[in-house]
Amino acid sequence: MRDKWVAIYVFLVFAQLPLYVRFGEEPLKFEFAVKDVEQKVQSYQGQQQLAEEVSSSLEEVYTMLETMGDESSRMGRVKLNEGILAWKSGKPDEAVKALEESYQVFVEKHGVDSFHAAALDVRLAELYYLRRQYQDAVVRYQRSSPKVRDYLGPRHQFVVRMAFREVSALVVLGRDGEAESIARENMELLKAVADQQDSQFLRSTGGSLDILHRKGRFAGPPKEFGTWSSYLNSLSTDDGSGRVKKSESDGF
Amino acid sequence: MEMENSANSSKASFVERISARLSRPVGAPVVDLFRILTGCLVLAYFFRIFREYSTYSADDGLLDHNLLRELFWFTKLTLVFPGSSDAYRLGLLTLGALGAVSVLVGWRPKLGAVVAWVVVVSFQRWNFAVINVDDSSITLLLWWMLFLPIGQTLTWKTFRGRSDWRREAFLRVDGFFVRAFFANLFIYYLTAGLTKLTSELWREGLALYVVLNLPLARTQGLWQPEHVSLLWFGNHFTLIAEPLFPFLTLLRKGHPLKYFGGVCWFMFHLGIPLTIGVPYANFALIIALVLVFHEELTDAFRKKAGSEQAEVLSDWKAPRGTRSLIVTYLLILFLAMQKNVPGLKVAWEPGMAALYLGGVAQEYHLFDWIDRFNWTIYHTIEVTPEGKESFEVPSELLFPKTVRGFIIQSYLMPMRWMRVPRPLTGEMRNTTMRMAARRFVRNESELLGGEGTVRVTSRVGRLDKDDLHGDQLWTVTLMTFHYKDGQVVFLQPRIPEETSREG
Repeated sequence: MRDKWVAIYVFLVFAQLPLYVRFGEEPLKFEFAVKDVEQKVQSYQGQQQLAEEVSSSLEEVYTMLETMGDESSRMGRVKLNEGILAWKSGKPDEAVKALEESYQVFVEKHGVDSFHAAALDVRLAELYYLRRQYQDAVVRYQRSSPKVRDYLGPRHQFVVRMAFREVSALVVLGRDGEAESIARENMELLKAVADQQDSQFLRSTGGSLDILHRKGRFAGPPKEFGTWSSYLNSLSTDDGSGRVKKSESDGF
Repeated sequence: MEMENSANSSKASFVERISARLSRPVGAPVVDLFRILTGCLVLAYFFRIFREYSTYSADDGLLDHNLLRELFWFTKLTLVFPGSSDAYRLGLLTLGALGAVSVLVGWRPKLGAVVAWVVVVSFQRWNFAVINVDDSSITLLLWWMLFLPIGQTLTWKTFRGRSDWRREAFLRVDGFFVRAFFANLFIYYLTAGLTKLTSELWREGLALYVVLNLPLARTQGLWQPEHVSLLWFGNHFTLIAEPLFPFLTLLRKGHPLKYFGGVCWFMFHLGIPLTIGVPYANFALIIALVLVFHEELTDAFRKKAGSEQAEVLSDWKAPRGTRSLIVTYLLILFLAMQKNVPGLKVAWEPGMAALYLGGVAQEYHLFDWIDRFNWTIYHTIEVTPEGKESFEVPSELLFPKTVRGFIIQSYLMPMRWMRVPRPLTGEMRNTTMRMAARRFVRNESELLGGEGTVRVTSRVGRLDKDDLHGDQLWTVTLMTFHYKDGQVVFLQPRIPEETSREG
């Protein structure tokens, strides 16, 4: 390499920068902005100021997508965060609306059989379950859980969680036979991933299993535990702070 | 003022002393032997890119290049662009291969290296979703060709008798860049070796077993759980040997440990291509042994030359700016490898970006990702031609049984070889299935007949300590599609119509 070539090389390296800025400015800004929103939504515990900040950030993100002329599924990710924020803010109707919109984006962009559409659908199911709309929840669990399981695998903590949410919903609806069958199929998996679940989930799941047990539909817990609730609760690593053992994400 | 001058002068002399020490001459024929071997390897690499052209670089291969340019916007700056003809792309590859030939024969080798380097980097950006350490190792070799004092000996002139190799054997050249290359080897091996310690599978001695049973390995399926204890030794040999290899460069000439280490180095890097693949990265490191043993090889050359002659120091001088450039490169490379290192991890992304801008993107975190990328997949492909009996075809007809073939399939599973932004992994998954189906129908038209249905069932899952044998893999219908006159319609999964994308 001769002297002048060093100068030319360094010049070329720097000369590329404006082009990279042109190509990458919009997707990078979006990525940073949406990650910021996700962090804030995750740490949101009802603080008014944070909620306002997130709302304003969401507005910015929507504007970015519009400016980009984005035709990808990015909108689905933003709507999902909007839905979670609404749920955490105690606005269940808004949450359902945002998640339904997110689901529609993924159906349109990835297809109705896609993992993302299915994962959104089971989130909606969870929302309906928490709103005590058990019939709506079961419909969604039944149509989308198998797709999520195909993608993430039956051992994944998210898949196991969804399976036992479905069990709980079916128990409430009195469809004990279906509930029993799913519970039997997934019981060992639940024990394996119990340390990655929050204690509230484990207690409510235990409650459903206890009902099945009392009806003679399901075996009892290990002898040293009186109920499934206390047994499952003993497997939890949740110390009440909401922090559980770090697990894999739901692959979203 | 006097004191300041004196301080400056002592500082300058320290730098000069270091520089002089690093510049101690080395035998020119050894550096050129390294050049020749590099030329051969780069040429072989170009043959591979030619051979794989229709699978990856062509528009109708497994990669949707328009989508890739959208997902990885930083790959847009390349000599290969959407709409460019096959003739143009193949012409570029030919040019690159000619560059490799010129490195090999020593005719304007620096120019040849520049040409080959630009072409290699362009194709790596074009096929970014499937590049791996094999590709970046070729970039690395060509990058060092730009700096090393090559072309002084063992050129086409020598082989045609216009230059006497016996005289060349006594020529010495500035050794600064050879030692700078050793610094690169330190960064390479220390990163590759030490980061494996962060992996649970490596620490438990299971990583090698898992790696060798993944679809990327040539030996997938040959290893059973009873081989785990044997492979435990290979696993721990890797953990111990890899970080120690670069220290061979510090041992004196003829040291017994140096020979022992050299044999281990050679066997280690020969073993990987035989069992796993990634031959270019491993042969690149085997070639590097030539420089590690430069003193011993120089003696051997001279002995072979026979007559005792006085050493001649080449008048080649490192051009102004190149030393600073390479020191800057090494510093950036070091920072770029600090992912997950407390206090320094903030530097890895800017470091990577700088390397990428400079056309010498490297990644030495090798197989430390095994705990995340331990997914395996087996396909059964059932073809039902219209009105005929069903039959099965080998899965390699859909996805090649190579490292790149495994990488492309990674986008079908919950892992991302290259970091596709979320949630665009969904678009990437759909396009991977669509491109694979179309390619399969086009390539196997005689086998398939004019019309019919193809069903791909996959056993998929992760190999880990809970499932060493893959007993817990689960079965899914990956895709079912109907084909007619070369057109493909997906039945399952139902995927949206393709949207046209601007490159």
